[in-house]
Amino acid sequence: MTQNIYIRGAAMTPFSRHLDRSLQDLAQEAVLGAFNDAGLALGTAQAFYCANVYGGMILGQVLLRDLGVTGPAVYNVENACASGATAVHLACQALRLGKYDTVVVWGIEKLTDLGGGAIPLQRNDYKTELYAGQGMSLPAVYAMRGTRYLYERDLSAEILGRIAVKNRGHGARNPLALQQRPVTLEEVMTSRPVTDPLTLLQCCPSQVDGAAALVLSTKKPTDRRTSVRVLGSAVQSGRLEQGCDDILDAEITARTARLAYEEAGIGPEDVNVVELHDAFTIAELIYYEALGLAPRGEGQRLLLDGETALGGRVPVNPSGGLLAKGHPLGATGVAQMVEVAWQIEGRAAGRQIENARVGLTQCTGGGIAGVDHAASSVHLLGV
Amino acid sequence: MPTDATSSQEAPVAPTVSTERLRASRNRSTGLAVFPQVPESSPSAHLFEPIVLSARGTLYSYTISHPNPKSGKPPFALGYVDFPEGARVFGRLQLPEGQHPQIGTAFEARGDGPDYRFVPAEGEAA
Repeated sequence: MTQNIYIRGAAMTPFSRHLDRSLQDLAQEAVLGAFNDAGLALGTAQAFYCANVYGGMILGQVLLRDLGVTGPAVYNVENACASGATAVHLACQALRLGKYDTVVVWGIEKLTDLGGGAIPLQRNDYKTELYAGQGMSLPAVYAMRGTRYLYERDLSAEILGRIAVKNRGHGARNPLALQQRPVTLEEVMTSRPVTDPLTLLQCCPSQVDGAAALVLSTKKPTDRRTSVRVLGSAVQSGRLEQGCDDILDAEITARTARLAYEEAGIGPEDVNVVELHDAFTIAELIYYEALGLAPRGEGQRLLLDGETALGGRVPVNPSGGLLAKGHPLGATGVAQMVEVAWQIEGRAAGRQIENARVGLTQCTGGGIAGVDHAASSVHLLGV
Repeated sequence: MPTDATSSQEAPVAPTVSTERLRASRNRSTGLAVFPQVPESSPSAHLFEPIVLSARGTLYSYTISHPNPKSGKPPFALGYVDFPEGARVFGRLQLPEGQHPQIGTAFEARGDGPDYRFVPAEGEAA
């Protein structure tokens, strides 16, 4: 990157069932929190990026209206689970071009407004309509990956359950996580079956709301111990599902990660902390390999050796991940970066990683589109 | 199925030729297949040629989905079946009572239109 992009402010609401709070309340709390964190006035934002999936059109303008700051460009961004990170990516592009020097990006979602159950499918073409009628769902897509993973590697289903134990244990240390109770492996494996081999505690909670915001600027802060920068930012779309390919390959995530690493000029060995897209337990195991944290075929070793737990070599999802925080879609990608920024700055109370200098965030979403996931976004943040 | 030339919606193509054979499309440049068949009315149609899949495919992966107990609905099996033409098809698996899906076993399609199902191929007991 030719221009340094600094994370001047990072804030998020708790991820919770905010039944008595509106989208406006949550978004404004996060945005004002980020500016307060930055020590900057709201009026310094030269553009606004709002990431959301289910909130409806022109959401950014509606959410900001009462703050009286609209007039500059508002960009409403949707890319399924990768919406928040995509919004950050677009903001970085504009900052690098010199079009703006300071912007705010926020992600917001209220899944409790949707009435419960699994996240709704998009049924917007002939293929998704056909497969939805057959019973396709996002948990089923991941579950079939889980089945294949256990079959190819000759592993018992407990390896999946251990991801939930780790991440929910991390969530218990995060006051902002929806679920703050550690669970045992037995509890995970005996929780209600959702779609084999995935049990309820292996799926991210679907009834959750939240918002997260970042103030990004090319002006270096002068008042901080550390100045976290965006070192690499990549977004990619999934390739057409054709032929009989390897569903454990996570091709879109691996490709997106390579681009981010290349831009940052670093490799997986330089990463100290990761926030990745653990919508279901099997996802985290597959992404260890796609992100280059482990060689192909050896992701489970990272978990079993404790390397990805707090206290390990490269903690993954110290926030609790999607499994413990929940996954308010638009907010997730931004919240991952808030966590990594806080970890690097020494502000992750209760779950602080020592000497974190470089962090990676990844979200990959839109698993039912006839492509190997619709969108993936990977960022590298560091000092 | 008639299509409106001014409509932006492609007319869906019925997935089956007969009760046992599924229709797909082969990508002309990659030679790989996609399912379901790309509609003839689609502006993308020229990138593909229509093909009919073999009667039998091999189970690549599966899951048993468990609807919320409050719904009263029974569990159902879903899977990916890979065909020799290089097409992977997602769909419901219909197995005899007590039989569990096994990766690598042969399945055949049954049923017309969008309600096709996969059943274990004859001679391929689990």
